[in-house]
Amino acid sequence: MLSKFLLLAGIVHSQKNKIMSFLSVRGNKYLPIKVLEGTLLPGTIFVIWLICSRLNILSKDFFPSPGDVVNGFHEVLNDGSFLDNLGMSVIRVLKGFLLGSTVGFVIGITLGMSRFLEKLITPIFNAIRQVPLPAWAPLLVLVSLGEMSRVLFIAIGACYPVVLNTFEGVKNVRNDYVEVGKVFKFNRVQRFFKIILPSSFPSTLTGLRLSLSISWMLVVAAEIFMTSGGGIGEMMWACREYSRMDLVVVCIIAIALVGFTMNFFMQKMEMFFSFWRLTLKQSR
Amino acid sequence: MKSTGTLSVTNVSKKFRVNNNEIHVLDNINLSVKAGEFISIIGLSGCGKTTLLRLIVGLESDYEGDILLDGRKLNGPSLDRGIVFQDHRLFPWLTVEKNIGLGIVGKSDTEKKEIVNNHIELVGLKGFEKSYPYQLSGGMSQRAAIARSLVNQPEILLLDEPLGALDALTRMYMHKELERIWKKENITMIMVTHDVEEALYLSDKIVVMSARPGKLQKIIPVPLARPRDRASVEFAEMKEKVLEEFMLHTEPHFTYTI
Ligand SMILES: Nc1ncnc2c1ncn2[C@@H]1O[C@H](COP(=O)(O)OP(=O)(O)OP(=O)(O)O)[C@@H](O)[C@H]1O
Ligand SMILES: [Mg+2]
Repeated sequence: MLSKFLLLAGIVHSQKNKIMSFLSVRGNKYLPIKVLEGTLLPGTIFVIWLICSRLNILSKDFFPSPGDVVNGFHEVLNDGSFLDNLGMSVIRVLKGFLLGSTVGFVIGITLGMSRFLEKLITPIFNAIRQVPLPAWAPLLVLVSLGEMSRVLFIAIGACYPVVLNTFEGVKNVRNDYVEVGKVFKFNRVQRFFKIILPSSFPSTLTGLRLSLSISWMLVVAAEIFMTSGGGIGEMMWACREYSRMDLVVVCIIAIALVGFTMNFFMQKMEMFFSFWRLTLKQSR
Repeated sequence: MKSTGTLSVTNVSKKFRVNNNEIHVLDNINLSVKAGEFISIIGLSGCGKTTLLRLIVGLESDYEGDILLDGRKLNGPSLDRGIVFQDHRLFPWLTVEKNIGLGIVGKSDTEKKEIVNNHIELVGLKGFEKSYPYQLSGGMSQRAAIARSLVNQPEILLLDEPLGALDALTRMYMHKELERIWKKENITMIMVTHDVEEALYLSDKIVVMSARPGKLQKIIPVPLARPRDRASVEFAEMKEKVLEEFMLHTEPHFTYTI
C-alpha cells in the first residue's frame, strides 16, 4: 500500500511540469492569485452566512450555522456511509454518462452525416427532447426497478447535449477540408476518420462536458425519484426527513464540490484536445 | 522530355446556376499544355481562374467541352493531379508532417515516413515537422501545402495564387523555390497569379484571361533563358508586353484618364 503510494507520488513529482501545465487555468498567472480570485466570492458568502447565523438572523431550526455544518462533516466522515454514498453516485453517474454520451455521439454523427436520416429522425428527436426528464421516471420504473432505471434516467439527460454538439460539429466541418479529401481520393471511411471526426471533435467535447455536468445534477434527482439504491441524493433526502439540515447542507456542499471537480477536468480536457481551435481565445 | 503530364482543354464552358439565374463563368476555353511546362494564368478577380483549376483538378464535373489528361478524359479527381488551394487548407489539428503525409495511402509506415521527410526537405521545412499550422508563417504554410500536394507524385500540379498572401521579398524567394521544385520534380505546373513579374519569372507561357464571361484573351510565350533576371532589358520588355495586353482589353478607360 505504502510502496504503491510512494510510486504514485514519484510519478506525480516527475511529471510535475506536465501536470501543472495541464491544470493551469489560463496563461501563466501566479497560482495563489488565481486561487484568491476563485475563492473571493465563496469566501464572502461564507462570512455573510457566519455573521447571519451568529446574529440569529437565520433561524437555527431551518438553516444550520457554519459550525453545525463543520460538525456535520466530522460526523459523516467518521461514519463511512457518506463516502460510500458519494462513491455510489459517482459510479452511477459515470455509467449513465458513458451510456448516454456514447449513444448521443452515434446519433449525432449519424444525423450529421446523412441528410436522409437527419430529415427522418430530427423531428422525433426534437419532440422527445421536450419531455421533461422527471416525466420519464414512471416509464423507467416499468422497465426496471433496480439500478438500471436510475442509470437510464441519467443516460437520457446525458445524451441530448452530445447529440446536439456532435451534430453541430459535423455540420460545421468546412467544405474546404472535405475538398482536400476529394483531391486525395479519400473513401468514406478515410473521410470520416481523417476529416470529419477530428474536425468536429472539439464540438463533441463541449457536448461531453455539458453532458457530464447534467448527469451529475440528474443523479441526485434520480436517487430521489427512484429510491433505495443508495447514493448522495438519497442520503440528502433522508437527512431532510430526519430534519438534519446540517447534514443536508453537508451533502449539498459535497455535491457542488464533486460537480466542480468534474467540470474542471472536462474543461481541461476540452482545452487539451481542441488547442488548435482555442489558440485564439488563449492568446488574449 | 517527359511524356506524361500533357493537358488539353477544348471548348470548355462552365455555367453556375444561382437562384434560377445562369452565370456564364467560362466561355469556350481552349488550352493545351505540354508535359513539363510551366503555365501561368493571369486575369482580373472573378474572371474564372479558380473555376478553371477546379475543373481541371476534377472538383467540378458539370461543364461543357473536353478536358484530356495524356489523352484520357477526366473523371473526377485523381492522384495524378495535385492542387495547392488559394488558402492553403492545411488541417489545423495536424502537425506539419502529418499534414504532408495526409494524402499518402497504400504505403508502409517506413515508406511513408521517407516520403514525408523528402518532401519536408524539398520545401525547406526541416525542423518544423512537429509544428502546427497556427505556428507557421504564411509562406511556411504555403510551402507545407505545396509539399502535401506533391507526395503522390502528380503529373500536373495546379497552384491557385500560392504566393498571394506573401510580402514581396518572401515572394521572390519563393519564386526561386518553386522553380527549383518544378525542375526537380519534372512536372507540369499551372499557376494562377495576379503578379505579372511572378508569371514572367516562372512561366513558359502566360495565359491572359478576360472577364464576364471568362475567356482566353491571349497566350503569350516567354522565350527568356532561365534563371531569369528581373533587371534585364528583355524581362522589362516582356513585362511591358503583358501589361499592354491587360490595359488594352480590360480597362480601356485608363488610356484617356490622364
Ligand atoms: N460555386 C459557385 N456558385 C456560383 N457562382 C460561382 C461559384 N464559384 C464561382 N462562382 C462565380 O464564378 C466567377 C469566377 O469565380 P472564380 O473563383 O473562378 O474567380 P477567380 O478568377 O479565381 O477570382 P480571384 O482572382 O478573385 O480568385 C465569379 O463571378 C463567382 O461569383
Ligand atoms: Mg481565385
